[in-house]
Amino acid sequence: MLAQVAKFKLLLDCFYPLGARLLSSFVGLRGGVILLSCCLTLPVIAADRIDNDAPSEQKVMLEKYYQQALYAYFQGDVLAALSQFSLLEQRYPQGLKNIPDYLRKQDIEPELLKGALSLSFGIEDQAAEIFQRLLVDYDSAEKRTQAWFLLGLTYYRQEQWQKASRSFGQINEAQAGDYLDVQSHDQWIYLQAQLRSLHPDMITEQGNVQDAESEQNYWQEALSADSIYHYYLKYNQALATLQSGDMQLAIGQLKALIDKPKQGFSQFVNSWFSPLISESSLTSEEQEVAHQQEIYGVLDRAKLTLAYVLLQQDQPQQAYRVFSQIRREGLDGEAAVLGYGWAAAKSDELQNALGIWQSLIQQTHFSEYTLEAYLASAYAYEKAYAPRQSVAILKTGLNRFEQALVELSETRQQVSQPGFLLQLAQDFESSQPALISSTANVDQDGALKLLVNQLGVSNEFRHYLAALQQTQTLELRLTDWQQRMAYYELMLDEREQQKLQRAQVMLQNQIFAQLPALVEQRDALAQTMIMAEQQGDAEALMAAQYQQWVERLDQAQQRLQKIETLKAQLQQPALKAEYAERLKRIKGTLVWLASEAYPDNRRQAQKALAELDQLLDKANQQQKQLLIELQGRPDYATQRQQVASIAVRIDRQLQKNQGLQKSLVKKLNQELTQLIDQQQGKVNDYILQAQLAMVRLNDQALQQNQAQGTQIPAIDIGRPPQLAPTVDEVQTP
Amino acid sequence: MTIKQAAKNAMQTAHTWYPGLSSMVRNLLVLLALGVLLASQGVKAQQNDDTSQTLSVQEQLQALKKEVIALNRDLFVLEEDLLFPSSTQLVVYLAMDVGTYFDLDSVEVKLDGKTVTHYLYTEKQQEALVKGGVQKLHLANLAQGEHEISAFFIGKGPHEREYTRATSLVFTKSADAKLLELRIVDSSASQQPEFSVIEL
Repeated sequence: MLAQVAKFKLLLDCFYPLGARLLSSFVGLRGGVILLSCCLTLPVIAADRIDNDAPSEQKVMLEKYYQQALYAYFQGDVLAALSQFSLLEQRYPQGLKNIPDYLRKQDIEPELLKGALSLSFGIEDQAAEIFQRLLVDYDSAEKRTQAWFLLGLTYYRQEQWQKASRSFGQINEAQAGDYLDVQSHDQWIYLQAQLRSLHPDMITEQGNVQDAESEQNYWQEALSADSIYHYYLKYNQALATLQSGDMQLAIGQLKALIDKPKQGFSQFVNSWFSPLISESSLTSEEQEVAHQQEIYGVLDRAKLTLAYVLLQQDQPQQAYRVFSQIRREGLDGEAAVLGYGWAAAKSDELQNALGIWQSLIQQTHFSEYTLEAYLASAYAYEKAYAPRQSVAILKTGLNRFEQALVELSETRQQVSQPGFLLQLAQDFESSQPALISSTANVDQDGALKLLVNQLGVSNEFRHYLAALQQTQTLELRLTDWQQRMAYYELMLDEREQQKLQRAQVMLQNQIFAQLPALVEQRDALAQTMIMAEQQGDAEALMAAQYQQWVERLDQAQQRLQKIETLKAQLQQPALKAEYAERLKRIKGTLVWLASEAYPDNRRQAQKALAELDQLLDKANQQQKQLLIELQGRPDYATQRQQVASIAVRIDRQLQKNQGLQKSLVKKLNQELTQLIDQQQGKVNDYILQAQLAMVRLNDQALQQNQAQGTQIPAIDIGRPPQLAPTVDEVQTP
Repeated sequence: MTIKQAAKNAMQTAHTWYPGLSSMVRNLLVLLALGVLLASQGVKAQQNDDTSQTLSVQEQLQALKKEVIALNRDLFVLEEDLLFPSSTQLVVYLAMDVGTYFDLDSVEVKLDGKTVTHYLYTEKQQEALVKGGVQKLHLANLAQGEHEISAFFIGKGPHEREYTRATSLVFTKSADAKLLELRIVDSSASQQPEFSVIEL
């Protein structure tokens, strides 16, 4: 029973590139990702027996609909597959229960497939309804395991955490091991761990875990050895420990996570990637880069967290080392550089700190880290007893802050332009971390790009953006259908015209006048037959060949007569009598033949006449019907009504879609505007801080000058140290 | 999409989930603690605020998608009625069995000697056929009466050899829709693929 295992491939990225929202910025690093990759392994599930009484034509059609749905599904065309399912169920309401076993080549249970496709297409309500119904119907453990798992995923996407947890909780470890494949099993483990970490009360509900640490260990052990979820669980575990206040334990956990790749990263990569390379249609290089980037991203975040914890624990030297391992090109690169400077400053290496921050200051783009570097540098100069340099850097900073405000103002204008968000959604790729890529053609690419990408890490924002993109896809489809409806209306008009023209041509050519003439001919033939019958003229009913023979005989007799006449005129001897006798014999033979064939000929003639009568009668009726139709106007009322009805529905959906699109644009615009407001507030705060510091420093410098009468020399800040990536073979996309 | 592709998508999208760290300069230590707190509590609060709107958008989008599926279905029915009425309709399906002995590259279909379809198959399409899918290869209008259909299959046969085979069928089109199926079946006895056209 367990030997046959099949896989459902949910195409979640098609319409839900981000799946459910992330549970937490820190804790739920992996949460939404799971749904994107929900690849399910479903066991063999026996179908209900096919109804043997059903007409074979219906069975054939049912199978063809289902097989076409499979064809679409295996190619990743979710909409086509769901439409085929819809068509099947419209024609055969109980059809999915009657799919024959021989069509389950991949051991796919049809109804579960429909539910999974619904989930993939983003129709969670429908998916949940299907899974709940199936759970009532199913009795085998394997069916139920699959259904509970899918239902749990559905609830997770719907953000119904309690229900999701309860659904996952219906599966025990043994069932999960038996009936879920490794990938699905890992997802099941990770999602439960996520739910428990956010809702500790669920632990008591489950009643199977004693404390957080043992629970985390339990999850870690339950995951497969090669699972990437290990990274996320470890990181989340360390954060939970931090939250509990046990800094030393948290540091140990973070260090363990960071050290893991050094112990066997290559081995991990190979074992993780090789199956993908062999089966996926995507290039192995792309996959490898994506996997590496994901792992490096998690490690960067872990290092950043560890470094700041070490700073907090007054271990700046160690923090300094950890900061230096964070990739500069990663998402946490600038944050790491800023912290790197702070670690140096805390170690009393002010020169180094200034050099590090200088590297941020030299960045031309807008970023809170580049701006804060001015204040940090001023702090370092002040600490190094260089108030003039501190004032100088603050002055430069003030100019930069003013410039940042201008950039933010321009960004606000650009964001409010109609079409900006629509274009952003159109270009949105769920697989790309940046909403605006570095190669994107954006005029104001400084602050705008930064802010949009900054907001792009918000799951909420990406969720709305994905929804907007989906409405755009739907709009395109609906518009295409709208055009098709217009085309069909025109087509019906044309058909009507063509039909009218054909009728006119037929009437003009007097095609219908030919039938009475044919009837007249038939009547004449019938009359001939009656005459032949009355007169006993058997020759009249003989075939054409016979008539030819008779004709030839007549010609021969005439010729003989002529020869005899001419011979008499020329006084030549007459022909031998045997010529005439020969012709007489032939004539006699013909008469005998006609006489012999007469009864058969008469019978056949009567039969043929009767058939001809029937045909003429039928033709007459058809002609009358045709004449009635031709005289009336062509009627396509039913088709027109169908077209009009669908056109109205399309228009209605287009309107709804546009309404939804507007509200999404409004929401996204609000989010962006809010972020710009926050950034402006932050920059204004920097300005205020800088101005206050300048006043204070100017005062100090004045007092210092007055006291010493000398000028403070500038400090050589030197070159900023280089950041080194953790692993040498880092590939940048 | 294969299971591996889905896994790949998951990993590609993973970096989109990294949360941004807010200001770290002002008070690093406080910030770190705040960050962790935000992880567990702030988000919960945010969820409550945003849930109503999120659900509303989700519900609207779901309703829209449901209606799009229903529209697609009805459009399919309408188009068949309008363009291919059953009195003249001819449907040619293509089905494939295991596929051990034959890798399908292309199929050419001729009706009464005229080429009506020439289809090239991708790996994914071939895979879909082998897994039990059926392709509606040709849909057309055909006059009632006797006709002949011929199908030419090109691909790779046993031992990776180029393989071209043909099959044909004479059939009678009546007033009802005519369904034909081109079948490629592995024959374990001959260890060769077998091709046929059948009337459904």
